[in-house]
Amino acid sequence: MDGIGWAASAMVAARTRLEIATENLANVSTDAFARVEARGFLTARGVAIERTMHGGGALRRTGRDLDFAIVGDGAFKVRDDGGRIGTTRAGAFVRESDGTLRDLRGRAVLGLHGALRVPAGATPDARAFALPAGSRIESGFLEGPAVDAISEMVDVLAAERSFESAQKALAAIDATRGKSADAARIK
Amino acid sequence: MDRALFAAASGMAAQQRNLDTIADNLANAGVIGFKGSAEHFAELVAPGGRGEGTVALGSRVTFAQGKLARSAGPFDLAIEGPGFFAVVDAHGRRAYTRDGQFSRAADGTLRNALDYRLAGVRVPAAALSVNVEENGNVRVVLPTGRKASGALRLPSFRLPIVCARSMVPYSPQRRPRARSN
Repeated sequence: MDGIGWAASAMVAARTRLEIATENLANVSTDAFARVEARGFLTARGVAIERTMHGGGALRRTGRDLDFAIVGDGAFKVRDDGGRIGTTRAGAFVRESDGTLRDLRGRAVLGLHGALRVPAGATPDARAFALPAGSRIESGFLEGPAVDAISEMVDVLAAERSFESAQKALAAIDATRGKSADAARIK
Repeated sequence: MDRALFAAASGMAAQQRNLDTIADNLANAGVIGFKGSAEHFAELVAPGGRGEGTVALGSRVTFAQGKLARSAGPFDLAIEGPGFFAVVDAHGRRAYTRDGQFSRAADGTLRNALDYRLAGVRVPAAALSVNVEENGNVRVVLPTGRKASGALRLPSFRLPIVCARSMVPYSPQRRPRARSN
């Protein structure tokens, strides 16, 4: 691979970093949002970006008995009206009149045997949500986002600078090639 | 670069909604029995699992207990814990409120500023004030002594949520509005 290829791959990587940082910034208020970390590494075809998720936001006290935060691994299983199963760690639930718990997107919360039904006044525990062993549930708390706005802003700036320097390298390589082409013509 | 722009824009749009909610809370900071709302957000995820930004899911009323303030009104009531005052308007329609500023009307009912009467309670003209016991029984304080006068039931609901976004596939059943007047 030549210099132009390297510079181009560095620019693509910088753009991806910028996208990831913006995505994290946009979710600075999303409960239980897992921060995406961009890790760059060298391959034979240039710089590649690997995305890794980092959850575990701080617990935030809400005092509402149908707000749940998971301490440990696992997630709440939910099913939408179309029957699709998904998972979420955002445990802000509402109880319908028939006892069904729903998350704020309207998906039914699943327990060990299908949709979880909670009698009025009762609070389900960790077993009811079929969480993995060792995980606990805190009622009256929500898991906050695992994002820190300042460090994401720093990442945005770093990605911008990285893009600029790759662009300068590209321009320099291009100028050198232009000069050598001129030299070839003179001969 | 478009994706980064879109994600940033979605974050701004969501925070704009958050500002609206906060402004509404602030505007009502002096309203007795007012319950503030909190905005909730969710991650926008593309089919491949890649994040695309955020979306505001709508605001939800937070039913935390407000502070009780001592007032001069002899018929002012406040609820500590869950529940609402059930009030009835001139057409017999029920409404629910946490605002307990009542005054005695000529017909013996307790009425709030919007002329809704408190359901289940009537007080005689000579009444000085009312006392509500733990079990909901209302005792009227008369110059001659106390007298029972009806019972106050405080209906309690699970928190209703307000979802205004069309993209949220949730339609809560019609429930009484639990906002204070």
